[in-house]
Amino acid sequence: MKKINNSAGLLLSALLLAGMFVVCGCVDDPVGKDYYNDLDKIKGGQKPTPPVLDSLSLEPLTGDGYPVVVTFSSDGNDGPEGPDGAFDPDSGTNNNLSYFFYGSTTDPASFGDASGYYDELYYIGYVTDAEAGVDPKDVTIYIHSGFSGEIWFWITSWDGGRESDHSNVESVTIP
Amino acid sequence: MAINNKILIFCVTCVSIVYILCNANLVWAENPVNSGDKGELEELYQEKDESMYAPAIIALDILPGAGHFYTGHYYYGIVFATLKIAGAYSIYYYWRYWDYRRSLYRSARDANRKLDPDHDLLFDDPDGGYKTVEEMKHEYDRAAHYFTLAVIGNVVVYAASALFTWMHVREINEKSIPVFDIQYSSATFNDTCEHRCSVSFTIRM
Repeated sequence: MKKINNSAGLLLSALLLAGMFVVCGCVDDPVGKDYYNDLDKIKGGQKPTPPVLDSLSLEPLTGDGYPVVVTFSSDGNDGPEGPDGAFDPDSGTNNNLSYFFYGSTTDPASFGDASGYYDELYYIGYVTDAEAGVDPKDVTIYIHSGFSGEIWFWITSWDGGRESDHSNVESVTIP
Repeated sequence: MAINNKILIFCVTCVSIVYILCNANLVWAENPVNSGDKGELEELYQEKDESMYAPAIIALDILPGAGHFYTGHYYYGIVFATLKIAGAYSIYYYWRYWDYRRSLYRSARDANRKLDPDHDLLFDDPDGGYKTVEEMKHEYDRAAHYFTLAVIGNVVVYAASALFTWMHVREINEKSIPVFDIQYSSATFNDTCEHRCSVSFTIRM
């Protein structure tokens, strides 16, 4: 009786071990090196083009601070050689774009690393394109009255997944 | 899954089954219970608890539950066999998962560097949602932690199983060790002195 039980136990062990190898077939295989080298696997697909920062104008001091009116163009279809402003290649328009505003008290040209342009440290806020097709657009940013000196501004567009390169950089001097 | 991987699993499974069956046959053949003349004496002989060599039984216990089955503790055998099978599978699974998450992280990292090095891109995670390269790295690290925990869990299970096997073997060996008793007594009566010495030998059959 004992030899039967010994053999049955070992056979059971073998079957359990065999079962393990069968179940092991459910694990995912590693992906290839170029798996993500595909825009379909990236949120936002293709990168939108940046808007054009037309001008900065400093308004008289108010109770909220110094108003700086940022005028920018987001219509990407009016360029003589194709889109030259904010434009989402995936949707073919700029209606779905939002615009991120950045500001810095140091010249971004001195950042060294281009990724500094998109650092949260310099992020001010965003606006959505509520007036699609209306260009140029004005956005007012209030600077604290206690500040004096030069401030640099730049803008990017965002299609819900990807952020464009930064626009041209403009500066304004707060007295 | 690649076809080569399936073939590998199939081969490993076959080799494992053959190995374990051969091992089972060897264990059965080497057991004194299973050798020798058949007959009435064999029935009596089987009732005796055989002395076992603990290291060999503990080594046998590397196979899931085998040490417990061999010593006749079938419930322990089933429990530890289940734990070891699940443990071995968890190691394999989390090793593959770790390898999988590493491949996703490296692919995302390289793609981000190549496509847009200045921005953190959001990559479609097969497990759901979108993740940046940094978040992919966190998932990769988490998978490494799971793998480490699986290894630690298996070590604990194997240690517990070996400990119980050793205790069972010791229990069996204690029953099979012959017991020697030597008794000596001396009594002095009024005019005589009596010395009595006896030796007894007990073996459990």
